[in-house]
Amino acid sequence: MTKTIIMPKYGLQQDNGTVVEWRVKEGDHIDKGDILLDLETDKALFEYESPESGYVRKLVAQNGEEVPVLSVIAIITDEADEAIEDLTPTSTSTPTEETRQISDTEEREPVLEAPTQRIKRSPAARRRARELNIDLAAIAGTGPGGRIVLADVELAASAAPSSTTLSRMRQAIGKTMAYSKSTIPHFYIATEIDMTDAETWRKNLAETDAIKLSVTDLFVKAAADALTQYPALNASLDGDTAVIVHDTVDIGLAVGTDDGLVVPVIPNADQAFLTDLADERAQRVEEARQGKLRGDASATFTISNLGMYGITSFTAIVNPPEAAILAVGAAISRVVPIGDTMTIAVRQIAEVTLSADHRLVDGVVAAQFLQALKQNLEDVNKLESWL
Amino acid sequence: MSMRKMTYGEAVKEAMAEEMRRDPTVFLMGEDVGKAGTVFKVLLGLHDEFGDDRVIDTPIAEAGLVGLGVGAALTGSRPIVDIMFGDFIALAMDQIVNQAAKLRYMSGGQAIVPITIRSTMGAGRSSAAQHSQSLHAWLAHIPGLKVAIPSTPADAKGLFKTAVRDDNPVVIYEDKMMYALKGMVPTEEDYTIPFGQADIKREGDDITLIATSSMVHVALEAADILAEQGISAEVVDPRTLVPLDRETLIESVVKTTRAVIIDEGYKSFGITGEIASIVYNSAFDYIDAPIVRLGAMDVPVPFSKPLEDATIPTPEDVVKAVQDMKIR
Repeated sequence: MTKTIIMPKYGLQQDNGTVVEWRVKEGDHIDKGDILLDLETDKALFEYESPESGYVRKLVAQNGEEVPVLSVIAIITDEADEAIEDLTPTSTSTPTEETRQISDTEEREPVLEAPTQRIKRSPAARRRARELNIDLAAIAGTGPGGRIVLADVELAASAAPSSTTLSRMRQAIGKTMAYSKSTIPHFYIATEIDMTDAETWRKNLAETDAIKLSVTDLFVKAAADALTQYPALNASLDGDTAVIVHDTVDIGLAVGTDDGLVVPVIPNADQAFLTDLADERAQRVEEARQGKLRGDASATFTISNLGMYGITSFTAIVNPPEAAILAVGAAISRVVPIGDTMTIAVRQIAEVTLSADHRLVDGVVAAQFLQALKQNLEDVNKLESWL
Repeated sequence: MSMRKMTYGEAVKEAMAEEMRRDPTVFLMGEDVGKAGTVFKVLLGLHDEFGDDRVIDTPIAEAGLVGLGVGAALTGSRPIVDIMFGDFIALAMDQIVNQAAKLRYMSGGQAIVPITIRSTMGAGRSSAAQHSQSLHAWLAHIPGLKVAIPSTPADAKGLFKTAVRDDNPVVIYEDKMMYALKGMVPTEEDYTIPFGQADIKREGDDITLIATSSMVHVALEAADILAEQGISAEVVDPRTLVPLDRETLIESVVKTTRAVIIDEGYKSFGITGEIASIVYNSAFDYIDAPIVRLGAMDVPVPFSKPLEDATIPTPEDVVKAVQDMKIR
């Protein structure tokens, strides 16, 4: 049987995807779940697992090629030598955009493809370049016939850092952030949250009930709840005018890794109990740190917490197509006046800053959201109710 | 360890004499091994010490004499069978390949064949095409045989003694051009060298020269020339082909990232191809230049001395192969 692999569509606004590098060649056998290729969307670079088992018969899209979503990028068959079925639609099926793209692609591509340009390098040079994260294409080979040898890689590594190119991931991050900053009219509002009671409650839980929650977990839950009250912030703009208000609250967490920023997603955070949410968060963050994050989960709202680094306040860039992002600072001890009696106390105060898309919301909604968030986190009974 | 300087030939003879003194079941037979002390004269004196019963001259009948050896080995002796020229092993192939190598396996371990077959290899004597070949790859190809190819007097003595004591058939090849080669040799009665242990004859960092038998000396000479050019060559001698010390070979190439493999057997389908394949498979990600193999030219070895010399790898060939890698 002939099966097609199509460029997946992950985001509402995703039009194209890039085949960064095939991990298989034509003729190879692949099992469902094996890594098929490195795939890049506007959001992320990740390893794409084959949705089918069989023999890779034709790689329609080439390494480095950007193709429209849902277009065919490879053809797989059950048997190594069976004839490839005609994939153009039969007369009974209605032509769709998807099938049109298949036939277009097939007409364009000759049966025999030109051999791809290979960089001549020794195995040792290739291994070392991978270890050092150096792009071989940027190195001149001095070995026989211009082959890149180990010494060339070592030389490039010791040379100025300008000789290396941005990693694929940094390029993707840069593209997304530049798009966000240049397209989305950001505005920023901040407030202070008294975390003293929440922190005491959280530490007690850990000591007496061995329930371990992180500060981030509290913020995820409190924000998710606040978003159900102000759904305008749990929305996306599709194109210039179409507003999509999401019916689930999926919170993304900005996680720094050695390779760059990734955003694991905690789905339905408004529905989850805190303990389950904490488990989910730990698992997703670990996956993200190990580079196992898929591109298939997208958030409706993102939280970036740099409190653990002692950062008191910062502003974040909205992660498109989301409407807002919350930047969380460290809870630090401050002397503050309490109530109306002009007494003072030492309290744990955290500053949070919301960056929001002015096309979707105005300051009042953003302010009301922060107020709800503040009330959630300063009310231990509320936190207790989410356990 | 007490050492004595001796030739390669003397080392072989000493190993043989010591083993014959130590074990009364050890005896030697072959063509001209008695009073003549072989055509290379390296065993002179053995017949005087051990007499007709233990140093036996045989007719010119290789198949028969190896067959006699296999029978003697099966019935409790430890024969050393001398095949004057490695080329003549062709005549005894059935006895070696189908009998000696198989009987322990086919008897379910009830029988052992502790025979040592010693023979010669190597060109350079103007002995022409039927007396100059290095055919050790033939026997390294056969499961059930061990194959040793010592390159120095000390290795010759140590490996020979191990061969005699081994309960399995061992073929040991001596390069006839090395009999006069001198070196320090341990004199202890129990000096043996275990099989499957390569020896690093010279340490280096930039390239590994894997060489066997007389080619070890070609490699060492090349390493001297390369050193003058600022290239540090490591010379590794596997010493036994079966069993083969893969680990040492691979570790060396992982360290140096490059290899030239030199063996006097014919280049095609031989030892160098086998070793190159092993190194490629295990050290692939550490290899910085295509591995070069040097062997005898794929022709009958010429009688003419200048032509004969042209068929055998030289230090200059090794140096050129390394220079072509453009190390620096």
